[in-house]
Amino acid sequence: MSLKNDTDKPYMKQDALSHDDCVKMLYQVIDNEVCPEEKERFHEHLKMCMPCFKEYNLEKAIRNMIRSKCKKREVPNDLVSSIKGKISNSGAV
Amino acid sequence: MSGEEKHKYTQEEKESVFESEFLPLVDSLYNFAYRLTLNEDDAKDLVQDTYMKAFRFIESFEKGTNAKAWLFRILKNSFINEFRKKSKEPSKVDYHEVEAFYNSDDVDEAITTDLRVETVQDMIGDEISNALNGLDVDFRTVIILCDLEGFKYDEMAKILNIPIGTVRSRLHRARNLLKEKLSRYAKKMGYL
Repeated sequence: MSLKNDTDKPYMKQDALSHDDCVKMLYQVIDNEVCPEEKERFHEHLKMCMPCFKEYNLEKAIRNMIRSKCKKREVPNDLVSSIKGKISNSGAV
Repeated sequence: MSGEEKHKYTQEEKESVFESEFLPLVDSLYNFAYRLTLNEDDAKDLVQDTYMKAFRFIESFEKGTNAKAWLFRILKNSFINEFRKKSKEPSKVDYHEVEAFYNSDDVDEAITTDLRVETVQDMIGDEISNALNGLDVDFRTVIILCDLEGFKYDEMAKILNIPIGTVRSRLHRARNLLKEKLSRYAKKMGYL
């Protein structure tokens, strides 16, 4: 059997990512810092691993909450004019 | 900012870069400054300071490149150099201890909490905000940059002047701490 056939065995895909690797990758997947192949392997693992699946969904929910609920503060009205003023006073503009 | 390539701008170009590329970012910069200082006046001072420096060192900025990352880096450095020094209050945690902790090998361990998706989704903005603001500033910063401002790891590495591996481990640790805080909070409120 050639080496090539060995690596092409279909079950290799499922075995490829260990639980520990998955935990390490979780944030990188959420932050979109992995290549499409790694992402696919990660999602293959999620199908078989309940703890990872739960953790992934929880982390996603926290990210979404941070984005939607940490409200933006209004910039004070005078800030931009004061910046412009300081720059022209410094003789720069 | 020494050692960086200089770009010659005419006075007119300087003003145009400042107006069209820098000033539109005031909203993001003010919010970042506020989340670092947790004080409106300090945040205003920090943003003004950042813009003054940006104008003074504008020749280190290459037109059309990432102005947001460049300005965030100036702001973060100003915060470290001026605001942290100014406050006489010693850091609440032993920084070296923290550094050693989040650079240690066990940083990738999975922290399991009994926090559930529904519990998190039921929380209100103040609860999330307070948990985030309660984190040590270095941990808070990476979460703000990544989750609120959407910077990539390589941009964060430049803004914070740390290796990309440290960005990854600090973010990991920060998120685990946040999760612990949210979980404690949920327990206290009887959500869990």
